[in-house]
Order: sequence, then C-alpha cells, then structure tokens
Amino acid sequence: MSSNMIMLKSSDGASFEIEEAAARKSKIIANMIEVECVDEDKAIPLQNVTGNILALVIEYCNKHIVDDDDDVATEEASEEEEEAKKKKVDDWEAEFMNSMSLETMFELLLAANYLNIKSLIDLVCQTIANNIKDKTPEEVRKIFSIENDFTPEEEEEIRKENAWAFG
Amino acid sequence: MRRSLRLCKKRKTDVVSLDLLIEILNRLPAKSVVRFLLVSKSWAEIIRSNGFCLTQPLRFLIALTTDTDDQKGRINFSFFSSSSLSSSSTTVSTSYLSRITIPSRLYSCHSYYVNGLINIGQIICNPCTGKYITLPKIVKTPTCNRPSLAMRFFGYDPVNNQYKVLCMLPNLEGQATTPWSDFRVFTLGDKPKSWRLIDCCIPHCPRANGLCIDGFVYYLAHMGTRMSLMRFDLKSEKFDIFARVSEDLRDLWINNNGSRNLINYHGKVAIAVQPFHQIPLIDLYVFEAGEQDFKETTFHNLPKPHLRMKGITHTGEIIFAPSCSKNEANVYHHDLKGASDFKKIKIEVDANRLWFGQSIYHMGYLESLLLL
Repeated sequence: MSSNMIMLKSSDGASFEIEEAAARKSKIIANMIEVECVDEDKAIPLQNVTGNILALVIEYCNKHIVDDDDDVATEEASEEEEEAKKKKVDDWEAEFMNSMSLETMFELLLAANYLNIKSLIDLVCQTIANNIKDKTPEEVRKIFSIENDFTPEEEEEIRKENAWAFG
Repeated sequence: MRRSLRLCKKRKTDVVSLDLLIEILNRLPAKSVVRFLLVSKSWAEIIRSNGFCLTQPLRFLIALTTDTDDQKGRINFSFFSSSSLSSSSTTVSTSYLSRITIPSRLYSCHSYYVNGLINIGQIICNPCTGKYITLPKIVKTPTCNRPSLAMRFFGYDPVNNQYKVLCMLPNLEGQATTPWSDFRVFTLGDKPKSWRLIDCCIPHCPRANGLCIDGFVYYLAHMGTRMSLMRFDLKSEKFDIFARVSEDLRDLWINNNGSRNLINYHGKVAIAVQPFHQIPLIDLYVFEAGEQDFKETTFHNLPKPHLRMKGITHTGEIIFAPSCSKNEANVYHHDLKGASDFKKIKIEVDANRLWFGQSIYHMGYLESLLLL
C-alpha cells in the first residue's frame, strides 16, 4: 500500500516529496492536512526553511516514521528487542547530529521549531547543550554572537559569588 | 570530531529565540549554567529569572561534638561549613566556623537547620558567629507537668522573616493515645523571651522529626489508630492535616527498629525509612497534599550502616550522611538516574581535637549574619 505523498517547497525554491505520514511529524503540516488546506498538486511553501535544512528535516522525519510503524507492528516485542531498537535509533540520531556543524544545528533547530517537531527540537537542543557545556563564557559568546557587556569588576563579582562553578 | 566554532556569520538578530535558549540552558549541568552567567547581562538575567540558580550551590553545615566532658555536664560543638559539593568531587574542603559549649541538659539529639541558624535541643545558634540563645524555660504547671517530654520543631517564615519554634507537650495522663493539648510558639527576638500558647483544634499526638519547607513545618502524628502528616503554618500559626499516612508506612513506623527522617524531596515532603537496623536498605515515601503517601523508591546496599538520607540536590542526587562518625567525615551521594551506585565524598575537617560520636550534617548551608 502506498501512502499519500505531499510536496514541500523550501524558501529557496527547492521541492521535496515526502510521505504524508512522515510529514505529519510536523504539527504545523499535520494541522494543514487536517483542515484540508493542502492542495494535492500544489507544494506547501515553507518560507523560513532553506533547501539544505529541509532535506535534513525530511531525513529525520522519514527515519522516525519508520520507527513509529515498527512500534505498532511488534507490540509484543521482548524487552531486549525494544532495547536494541532504541539503541539503533539513538545511534542513528548520534550519527545524524554528528555529521553537522554547530551552525547547521542552529538552523535545524529554528526549522524544527517553526515546523513544530517536538522530538527534533529536543534532540537538537540536547546536542547543542552537550556541545557547549564545557566551553568558556568567551567561546559561548562567539557561538551565540553575543557581545560581552560586563565590566571587569562585574565579571569579578560573579566569579567570586560562584567560585564553585569556575574551579 | 572537531567542529568550527566560528559560525553564525555575525548575525544581526539572536541566534536562537528566548524559548529555545531556555530549552538549551535547561539541558546543561548546573555548573555550566552558572558559568554562563558571565556570557552577557541578558544571559545573566535569563538564567537568574528562570530559576536556574535559585538553589544555592550545595554546601553543608557540619556540627561535630568534641571534648565532651561528662563530669562537668557540658558538651561542645564545633561548626564547619563545606565548600560546594559537585557530583564529580570526591573530597570537599571545609572552613571552621565556630565552637560553642553548652550544658548537656540543654542538648538533645534532634537538630534542625533553617536559613542560616541551627537548633540543637534547647538552643538556637548562628554557627557563623558562634552566638547562641537558649529557648525559654517551660514552667511546670498542673496542666503541664512533664516539660522533659516536649517536642520542638524549628522553622523559618520567609514572608515575615521570622524564626519560630513550635513546641508541643503531651497530656497530663500521658496515655500514648491521648491527644496532646499544649501547643506553644516562641518567636526569635520576642521580648520578653517567652512561649505563647496557641490553639489547635485537631486532636493529634505528634511524633518525632519535623521538617520546615517554605514557611511550613511538617511532622507526622498519630490520630487514634491512623497516622497523618500534619502541617503548621508559621505565619498564621494554624494547623491542618496535610496528607494521609498509608498503612504500609504506619506499620513500618510502629514496628520500626531503624531510623526515619523527613526530607525535602524536590520541594515535597518525603520520609526516608530504614526499616531494620541490620539491613542496609532505605525506603523513600513521598507525600502529596490531600493524598496518601506512595513509595517512590528503595535504596539497597547502603555502603555503611546508620546512614541517614539528608535530601536531594538541585541536580537530582540523593545525599546520605552518617549519624555518627569518628575521626572521619564522609557523605555519600546517589544518582537516581544513572548506575545504582553510591559515591563517597570525603569531607576534610580540620578537627585536631578528639572527636566523639555524633556528627550533624545539614544541607544547603547559607551564612547568616543575624546577631543572636
């Protein structure tokens, strides 16, 4: 049985075909489908997502829709199988995230947020957190394009108050 | 693999929205979040206003009994404050705060810590300054003839910035099941220093161990054959029944051979029960308002006998400390999420005197400059 296909169009004009079931991972698109404002022949325009990022989103959705189907089919799977499957997904996600730069992660996060895909938001936020947790405030400023607006005295005070965290 | 940090090409707008930034900060260890206070003023504001730093870095107040001289009827306490505990540390240094000597008759093994002050037996002490006051004496009257059986709980009301002691006395007949009728309060700083009798219209018999959270004192009480968790509002000085005690927990309580103490579990009242002296196991029951307690978890294989559960850190680790120790102070922590392992943290105390039995550990110590 072949499921419905939908077309998505990125901000830079690239078109992508995606299974409806996978596209429904996005709450926004799922809503559009519910209220039937999806025209079968017309692509859904996503003004805030570029083609290269949309490709990543679709890769993620495709991967996870397959997993969700598996869950239904093998409801009586043993605990070990469940574990193994979970590990497989985790490994896939780790590799998926590992293949991109921090900059791409932020763009992917914005896209996931715009399309409202909760599990992808969680995954990207966690990966970014893991990435920055051991960085210095200076490095974090660079990553988030932030200017330091503390005076040296103010900085010193925060350091002193929270000496435990700066050890 | 290494990634380039130079990114975002000098964006004019924020890299992520506030919501997403909070999502990311939420997933960082406490230590990183605190370090990132330094990123910018707006980050510092976001971090402070979203409760990331509400909990102070975890410090201990440690009171050790030293140089007890039974003949003279006096007992000494040396107070130490620890530096902050983090889950990766294996040792924690301490600073010596002060030392007090009190008459043994004022001492009891119950001790409470709230907002910078410690209550041991019949004294309230600021360990930072080493000053202490004794609680007003309870005068024997025909209706109150057994002051030695008084039960006291120490609490802090953050709204009025008041420290109060709730004191309860058993009835004249002294029957274990007769509800207590003498309830009184002492407010620190009151002049003259005296107890104020208060009314309580809920017949109950208080049982040992109280806990103060956010302006309320909680304690367990018998009501006939049932047990309840009572709540005393330090501000209005009213009592109410906060939660029911399950039969399981009540039976444990009645047949108890081991220890039990109330702890603050993520802002909820919980009780840690070690059902048997000899078996290294602690059950943790949690209370919710108006409900019956439920067993949250069990800790097996405690690394040491006589460990007491002290509380939980803002990073979710349960802290255990011994009730008595000699020449060495250790606490243990257990990460509820990860491997079921206890980790030992040595507390380096520079006690160059002989050091006896009891050691008192309180979590979340803050210095107070309150003069007593």
